[in-house]
Amino acid sequence: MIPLGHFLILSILLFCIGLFGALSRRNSIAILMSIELILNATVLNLVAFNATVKNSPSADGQTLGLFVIGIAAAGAIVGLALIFSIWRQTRNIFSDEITLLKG
Amino acid sequence: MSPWLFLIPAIPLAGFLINIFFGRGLKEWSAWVALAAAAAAAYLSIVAFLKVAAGQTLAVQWRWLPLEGEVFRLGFVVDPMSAVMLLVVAGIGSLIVLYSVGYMHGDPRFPRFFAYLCLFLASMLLLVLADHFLLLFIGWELVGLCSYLLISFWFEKPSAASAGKKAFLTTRVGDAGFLLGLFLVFASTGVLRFSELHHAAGHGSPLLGLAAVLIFCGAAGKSAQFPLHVWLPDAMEGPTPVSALIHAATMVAAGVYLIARTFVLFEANPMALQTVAVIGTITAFFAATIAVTQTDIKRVLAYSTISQLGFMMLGLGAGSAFAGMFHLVTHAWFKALLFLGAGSVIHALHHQDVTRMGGLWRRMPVTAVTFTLAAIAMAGIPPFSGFWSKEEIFMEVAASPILGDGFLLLAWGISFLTAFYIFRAVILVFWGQTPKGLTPHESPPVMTIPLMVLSAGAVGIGFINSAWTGHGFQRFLEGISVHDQMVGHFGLAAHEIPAHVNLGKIQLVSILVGLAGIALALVRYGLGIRLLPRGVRTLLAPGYRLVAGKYFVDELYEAVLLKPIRDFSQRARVFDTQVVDGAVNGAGLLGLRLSAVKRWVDDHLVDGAVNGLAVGFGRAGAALRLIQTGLVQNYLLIALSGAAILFWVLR
Repeated sequence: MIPLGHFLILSILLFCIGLFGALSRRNSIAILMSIELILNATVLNLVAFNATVKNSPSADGQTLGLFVIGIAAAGAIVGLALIFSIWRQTRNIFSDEITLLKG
Repeated sequence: MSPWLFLIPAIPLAGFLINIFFGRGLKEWSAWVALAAAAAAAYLSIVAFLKVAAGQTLAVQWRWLPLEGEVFRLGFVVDPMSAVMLLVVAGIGSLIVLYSVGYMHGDPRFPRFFAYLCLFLASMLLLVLADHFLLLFIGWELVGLCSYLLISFWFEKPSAASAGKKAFLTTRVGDAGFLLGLFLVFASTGVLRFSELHHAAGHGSPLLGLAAVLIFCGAAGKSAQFPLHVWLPDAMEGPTPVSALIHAATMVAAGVYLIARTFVLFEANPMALQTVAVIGTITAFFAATIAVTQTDIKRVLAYSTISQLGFMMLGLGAGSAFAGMFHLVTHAWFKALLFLGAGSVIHALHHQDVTRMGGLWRRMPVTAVTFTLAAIAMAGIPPFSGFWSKEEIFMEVAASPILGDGFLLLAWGISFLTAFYIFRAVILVFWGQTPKGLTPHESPPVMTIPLMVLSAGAVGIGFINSAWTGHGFQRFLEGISVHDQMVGHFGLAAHEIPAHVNLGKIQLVSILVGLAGIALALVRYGLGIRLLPRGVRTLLAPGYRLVAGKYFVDELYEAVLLKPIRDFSQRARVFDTQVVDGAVNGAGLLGLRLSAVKRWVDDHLVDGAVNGLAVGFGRAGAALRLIQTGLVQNYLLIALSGAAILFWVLR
């Protein structure tokens, strides 16, 4: 049985990689992928806690994990659609050059 | 009931309406309309007079307005007194309308003149017939209106226009008194009908005495008594027939008639009677002295009218309504004749200055003879009419218990002056040489016939009360006091003369003073002898100037009344333009200034606050804009930072 700490360390690593990617990559698709990493880190946490905590009779963690995966997929689709739309308008997907929302 | 009495004023009124509405089309015929109306009124008056002479009292009443349960009635009454006035007004009125046909010939407002004459006759007859104070007052004011219209008939002349105004305003002063007196009578007795006045006035309360004096104020205004006489000389600006009819024979006598009508009020109060007598004497004397100095023939006659009216007032004040009324009747005839004669002269010469006349008796014999007859009548020489009525007044004054002997002496003095000034006029106009370059001719028959008819009256009317007719006029007038109680006692009956009054002496003296006046006029103006030595003349010159200046009453009114009023109006005008207008303009300006301030406040403070708020939000927005970079990753970083801070805080 793999102890909980290992899962959490992996989860932190995944989260930090995703955060770093989301903050530092210029390519919008890469930012989208990094966000997926962050989400996956959360899902891993949910599943790990559900497996480790014995006196929990239900499978709430797993259920919530499946929800998050589903919602993440929907979010990714919306994100990709936006990126395509921006690409069609501006021929550009670099996040530091997209400043349409600048106040 | 005699409903036909209505017709007496109604027919002249119809004449007025026809002439005023259709005068333009009628042209010359308007005169005959007026004449027909006047003649019809005169005929009905004679009928009424004859009925009254037969002992009847004619009356008609109609409901005027229901008043607190009882019905308020107005009506006409013909008793001996109003019958006499009816004859005078309608009779002389008809003759003067006839005369006017010739006198006004060719005037551009010919029909209008006759319309006014008809209106005057209607109102005067209304006044005479009234059985009630209110109805009399209506007629009273209407004749005042007609007087105004006719004095300023030639309103193109500024003097005529202002004379009309003056007459109207001056009589209005008296009328205010009359109205107050009327109120007082009604307030204290509750009756205004003449026939009921007798019962109410029996006690002679002081309040009724005051009312009597106030009514006398009205009479003084209408009859041109001092100090309200100033309008009558100026009223001579009107056409001469008007002067004869209104301002000599009838309207000015209305004051005397009014007092005779309400004589019970005066009789009950010796003070009121004395007031009447004193004012009458003052007026008679001072107007007579002025008449001596005047050179305008119509003004001589105007002052003589004032003087004779004062004489009537003296007769009334002596306690005899009969004496006043008798002189009213005789005076109406001879004064109308004098005026019409003067009008005939003016018609021929086209000027009114007696000093530029002379010798007219050769050219205008009818006018000269009739005028002289009237002059003798006025001088009081028997057996002409003026003698009888004047003698009656002298006798009443002598017999009066409330008047002293001085009044009789003054009355004789007035009689002397009267004879002197009227013969001065006769001699200057008709005697001597005709001024060169004048070819006057006698007036047409339409003018001379009235002169002749009137001269018959002027000579003979006095006999109605002579001893030979058994003092018929007095008995006729006194008849009413027995029948009707409408007025009180009519002075003294012939058999009532007190022992201390020597009738023969009074008659002799009154004839003598008249003859002396005529003789003096003959010596001074007929023979041209100066009566006073030069030294005395220069000594008396200031006195003469005072009299010739009409005692400067007009100037006094100008200085005491009119000038202060004008000055005050001027001040008021200045006050109005400066202070009131200033206040109004100031208020406006203040509003303007205030709005300017408010505008500044609005612009700067209110708008400033609103704009400031907006600008403040704008600035704040601009500051917050800086964090809206549009870079997704910045937002993420900010969110992360927030989460980190949250994490640190909740640690």
